[in-house]
Amino acid sequence: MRAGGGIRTHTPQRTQAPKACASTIPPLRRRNGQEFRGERYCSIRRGLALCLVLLAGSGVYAQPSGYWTFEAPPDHLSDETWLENARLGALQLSGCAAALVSADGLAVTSASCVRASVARIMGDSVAATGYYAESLDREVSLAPLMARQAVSMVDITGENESDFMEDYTLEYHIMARDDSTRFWMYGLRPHRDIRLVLLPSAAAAEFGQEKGVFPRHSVNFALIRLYAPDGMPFVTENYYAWSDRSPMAGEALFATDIPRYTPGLSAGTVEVYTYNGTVTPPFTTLFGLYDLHFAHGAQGAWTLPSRWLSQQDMLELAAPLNFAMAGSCPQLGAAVYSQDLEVRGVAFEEVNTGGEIRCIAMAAAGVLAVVKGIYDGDRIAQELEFQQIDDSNR
Amino acid sequence: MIPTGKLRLVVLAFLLLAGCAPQQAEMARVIERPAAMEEVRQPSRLESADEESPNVDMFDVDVGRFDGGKMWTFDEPPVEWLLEEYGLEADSTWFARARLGAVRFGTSCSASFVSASGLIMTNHHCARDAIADVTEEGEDLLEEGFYASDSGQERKVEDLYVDQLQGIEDVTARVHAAGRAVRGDNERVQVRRSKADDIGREMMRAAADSTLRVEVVELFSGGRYAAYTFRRYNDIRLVLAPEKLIGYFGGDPDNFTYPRYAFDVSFFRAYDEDGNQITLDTHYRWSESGAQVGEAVFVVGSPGTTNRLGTVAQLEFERDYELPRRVEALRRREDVLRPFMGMEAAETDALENMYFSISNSLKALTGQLAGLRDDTLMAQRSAAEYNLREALFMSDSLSGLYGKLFQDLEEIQLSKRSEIQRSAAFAFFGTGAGSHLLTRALYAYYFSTMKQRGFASSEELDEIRKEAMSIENLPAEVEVALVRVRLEELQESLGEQDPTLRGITGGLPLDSVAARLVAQSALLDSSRFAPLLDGSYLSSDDLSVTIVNALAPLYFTAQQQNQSFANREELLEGQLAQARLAIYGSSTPPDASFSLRLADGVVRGYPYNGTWAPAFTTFYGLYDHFHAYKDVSKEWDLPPRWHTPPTGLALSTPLNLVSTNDITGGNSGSPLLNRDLEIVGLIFDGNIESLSNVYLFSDRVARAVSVDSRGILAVLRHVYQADRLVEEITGGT
Repeated sequence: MRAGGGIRTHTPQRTQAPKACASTIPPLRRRNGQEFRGERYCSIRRGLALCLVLLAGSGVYAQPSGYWTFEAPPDHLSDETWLENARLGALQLSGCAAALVSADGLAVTSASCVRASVARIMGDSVAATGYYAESLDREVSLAPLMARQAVSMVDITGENESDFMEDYTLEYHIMARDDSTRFWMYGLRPHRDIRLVLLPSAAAAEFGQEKGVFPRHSVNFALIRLYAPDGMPFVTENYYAWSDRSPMAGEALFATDIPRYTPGLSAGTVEVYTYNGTVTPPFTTLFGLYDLHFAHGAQGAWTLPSRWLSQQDMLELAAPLNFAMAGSCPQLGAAVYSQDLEVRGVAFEEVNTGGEIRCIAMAAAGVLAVVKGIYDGDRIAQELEFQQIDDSNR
Repeated sequence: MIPTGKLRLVVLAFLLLAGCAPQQAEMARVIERPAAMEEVRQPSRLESADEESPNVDMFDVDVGRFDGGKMWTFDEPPVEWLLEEYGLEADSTWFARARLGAVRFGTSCSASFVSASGLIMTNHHCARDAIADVTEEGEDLLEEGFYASDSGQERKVEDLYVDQLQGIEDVTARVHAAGRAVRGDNERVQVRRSKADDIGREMMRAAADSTLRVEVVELFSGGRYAAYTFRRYNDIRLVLAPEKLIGYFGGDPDNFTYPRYAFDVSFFRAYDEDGNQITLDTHYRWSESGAQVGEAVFVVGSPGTTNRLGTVAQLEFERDYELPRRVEALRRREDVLRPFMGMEAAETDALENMYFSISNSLKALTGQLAGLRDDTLMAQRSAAEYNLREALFMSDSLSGLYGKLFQDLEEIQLSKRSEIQRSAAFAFFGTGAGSHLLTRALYAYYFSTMKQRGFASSEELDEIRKEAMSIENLPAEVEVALVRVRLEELQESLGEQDPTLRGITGGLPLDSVAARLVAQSALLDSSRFAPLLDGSYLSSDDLSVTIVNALAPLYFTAQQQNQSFANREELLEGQLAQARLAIYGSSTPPDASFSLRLADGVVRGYPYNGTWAPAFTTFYGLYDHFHAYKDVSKEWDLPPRWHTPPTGLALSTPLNLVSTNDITGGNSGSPLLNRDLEIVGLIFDGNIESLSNVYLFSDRVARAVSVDSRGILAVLRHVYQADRLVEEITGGT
């Protein structure tokens, strides 16, 4: 059950709309009243078998899964505005991916993508127990951790590339395609001031020390913020919408990552599949996390930190925690988002079940529940829901 | 639910007509007759039973002391083993208490006394019929649950009884002596059985107590006979039943699996023959602290039967022919039904039930088949057989007696192979797992024939009619598809030119034959079926009559043939058991036989799905599943009063647990006891890994699944406010 029945729709009212990049792309906010529901074809009444039958047998709903470059997207993803939005919300984060989720530079990634930086700067103890910045000024710089955003892409085949290198603050990369008959140039914006907002404890993020396992209960995410050179939060129009909607079986999800400096687009569907004589759920919940804690006798790798026990009553336990998608994972930390660019989760690990590859993600709804319930993180919860920093928190 | 090896579907007592004894086990065999299919595997090793398996050499595996299982009898209790393994000094008082607290619940489940006032605990899935029986007009107790807040509200269940084992007497000598008087193996078996029955009746007369019943139990396939005296309680009343949704939480998908979160519990009470409350000398006390990981636990119950003592040749037949054919027949039906799932029709429930039953049977059978296809398992069985044959060979007297045994069993497998093609045409014939129209036809044929020839009493006829009328309607297009599958199987089995088949089809394509039958036969619909059944079905012009008239004789011939194989095989299995008894004595327990057994084990999780399945689950997990599957299935739905965790219910309370005890079908409802014989759980299922235990007992990853005693208490307290029961089971009254 979702706490509020979907996120509240809110259009940030900004007086000064800074141009972060040359293009004029509408913000990736969800437009009022346009709730994308996905393909919900597993009716409750008809039961699971029916659902599985449809999932397995129907070509109508089958979404292509795969990996594409932004230069050659698949036919069904040819909308240019959509493609630009899908590209611009994504960040490269030294070997990982991250995704912008607010107009004030808040970004989500996987816990393991920042833990080493946190350990180096704040010490092993903080890295293990986790950190939450209760106010903007307590957000801690993770320098030299850097992020990059693929802000421009141009087909320069037959052109002089220097003609297109307009912005000296960008890093330009040229990609040869189609046996070097075509050339594309990407402009990557480096972000050098990355600060830690929230890192859950290692015990929760690596709950059970499980690897390559689903159903799974890992609180595997981190929140960081991009800062502009002036030391203020990086203001942008390019961010994905946030949602606490539960992932739905069969729902098509997408991800953008930027490995080797050119962004890639991948797609997969939320999967329900047979395992252990039964079928996996479309997602696990925070209830399951506590189930394992107590089932294992609060011992060993399944032990929750004390904060989780004392804050339990504040937590929306029914919130989705992890889910599995068909296909390989994008880069660690990449957001997986819906057709209307709503973040549904953060990819964190691949699972290979008898040759079937699936990607496990931390659910966006679970992130919100944890921010609110475990960290009393109202300022961040509000920012995730309204997608900008509330004035009272500036 | 613990697999009982048969579909939960309409069963026909056709063996009566075929002149066979109407035994439960044989009926189960009949409804699972293998289906026609291509030869999936060459029978490579039938000719040489002790030849090693290709990948795992039988000389590389250890024959485990408990490969045959750990279902100990109370005639020869495992005193030394319990001391050696658990340091438990179990004396005769301990075993007597263990025995007297347990009861056999009806004809297929186990249960236990949990208070001196005769309170009985068993599974919800064992109580479904009873719950339906006491449901009154305007109620739906199966869905809504039931709780008698005082004893006056407890509802008597018609025809339900429980049996408590009072004493055991070895009568082997008397039974065997009677058998020695006759020649011929078949005759000897018959004589022994009737002697066993005589002894039982005689003892009952001598006891002169109407509440006592004596049953002579066959152990080691006839190697031993023991007279079990039971006290029967005939006045059994329903006390508490949870809603089906929580009793069977996770439904068919979660059946045979763990981690699990089901409250598969119900309570009854036994009254004396005058309807007065009873006071028991012995009952199990309740453990409020439950069991811990690593703790020794004991299951007392009445397990049905396993297949752990057959020869390698028998297993190979099962692996290469019998199971693959059953699986194929079910899979065909599943495939045929799949496109209809979700159709909007009045008959949707019947259709879904059928589909899920088939999927569930497939799950059980494929689990068993996977066990047989496990080379290590086969190598272990081969090694055990090799050892036995060696030992027999070393003894002149034994090799003389049993020397030909293995060869004889192999020969039967060859005969069965030659027959399987024909019997395969009737896979699941007359059951719910096929065309209900054809099942009605078979019922009508049977009913009419029995009536005409006066073979059945009017009570029996009533019973048959009742069953026939309980067959549910299916949508016409589903019937067409299912009739077509049957015709297809007949064609594959008999050949296209077979006169019987041509008589049915008239040479027309199977599709049109099926369509015409469904379009024209009154048997499509139960209300149109009724007047035909009560009238003269066989002389009516219903299109189904021609078909059933052609098929029934073939069917019965095939049944008779199979039955004669089964009889012969059973006889040889008896000799095999005696050979084993002669070599090994009774240091290992005999196979399960629906009689009371004690199985020892330990509470322990196991590796699964790349991680570790904890020994316990909690109510948090129940709510995890409730919320997680909400949008895709109703199988994990909860009754309304459970939707929000009830006040006072600590979600960290253990709900289910697993242990290494050896259980099988029939153990449902057995108590799980600690070494002080206190209730720490209630057995209700095995995990998916335990399915292959039917062939070889292993406690590596196979587990028995129970409801935790702490979870039961918490639910009684906080969900059902069953204070009087809580007081009764914890107060020791």
